[in-house]
Amino acid sequence: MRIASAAAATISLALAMHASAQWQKVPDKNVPIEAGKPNLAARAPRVNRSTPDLSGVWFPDPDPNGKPGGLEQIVFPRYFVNVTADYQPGAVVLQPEADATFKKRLASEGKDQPAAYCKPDGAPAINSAPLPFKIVQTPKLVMILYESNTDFRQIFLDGRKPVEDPLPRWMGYSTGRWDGDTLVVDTVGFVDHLWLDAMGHPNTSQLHVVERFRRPDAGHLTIETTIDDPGAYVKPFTYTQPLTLQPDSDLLEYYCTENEKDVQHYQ
Amino acid sequence: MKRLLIACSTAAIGVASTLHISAHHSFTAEYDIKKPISMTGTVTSVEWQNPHTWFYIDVKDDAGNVTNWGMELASPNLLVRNGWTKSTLKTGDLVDVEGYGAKNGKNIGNARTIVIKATGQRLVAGSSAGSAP
Repeated sequence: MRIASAAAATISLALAMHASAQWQKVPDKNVPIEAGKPNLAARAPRVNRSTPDLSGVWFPDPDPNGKPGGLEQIVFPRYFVNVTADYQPGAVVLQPEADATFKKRLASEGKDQPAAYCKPDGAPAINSAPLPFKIVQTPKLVMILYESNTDFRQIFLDGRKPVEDPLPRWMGYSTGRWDGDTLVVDTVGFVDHLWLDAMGHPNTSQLHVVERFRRPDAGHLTIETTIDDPGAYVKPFTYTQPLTLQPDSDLLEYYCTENEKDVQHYQ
Repeated sequence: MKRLLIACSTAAIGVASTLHISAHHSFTAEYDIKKPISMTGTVTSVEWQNPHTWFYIDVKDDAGNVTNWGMELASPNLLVRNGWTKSTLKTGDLVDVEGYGAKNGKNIGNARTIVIKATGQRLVAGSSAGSAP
């Protein structure tokens, strides 16, 4: 019995460890180490004393008001579940066709969620998915490497204009610019069957997303995201996803098709 | 018209409160929260693969009949970030498993807690043991 109790305590401790446990020997050199630990409250790193450097491995924060849930028994990021969570019910008004799509998705108990079929999360939902992503910042191009589906985005900062009549994409076509310490990213050219969250908030091909990336200190990132889609919503709406740096972690592979077998279990 | 739209959306939010979200797929679409399961068996194989880890156990009933059950866990990526390794659960381990059964009635379930009987080690599928979805 004593052995069993000790073992239980051991695994509890292990479970209390965070994502950082796996790669402690390779810390993020962008974050100062103080008293043996990364100081997440340190000043945000900058590139050649110019713009902030957003590079790093980031994980969206769990909903501070959330409860453990789902198959994984974790607290999900607030906007992974519902991009309108900060609004009173009904305050974000859907156009009639989008409203019908939304209700149909809700009634399906999530069976039609693209991720269940190993399709991409799509942007901007993927910023709130409960898997880490890595920002790699260069002067003319910001790359975001997402663990979810081992996917990626490119954000062009070379002054190009958005592509006219772009191919529809799950991630859209992104161009960016610096506004002071904020990276402002414009994205258009989406497929018309995104799920903006796990509830199934829909979009149309008119979707225009503006994301404002800010790194207030070394350990934290916010992405203020405005959804402007007159085809699906009467007015634009905004939510801000907070994220925390994973200073001594890194991405893992995630190929959803490797062993997907949930859909075949649906009734 | 606007008032009608608001009413519709409010109703939709009400429906959403009964959904049980998961990272890769809906819990509700596959499992039944009203169907808790508990069993003891021997691990016959472990699939340490995305999007979800699966393990299989042989369960013997009182008459000596053996049934193989498939039990689903979180992704290996999530498990490894919560202290698991790929050898935490091994073929041959005798385990107590608690979780929820599938709506389709087949011998599959979502494992919530696992106790390895040889060591007493208690494992959870995610980061918070035992709570309801």
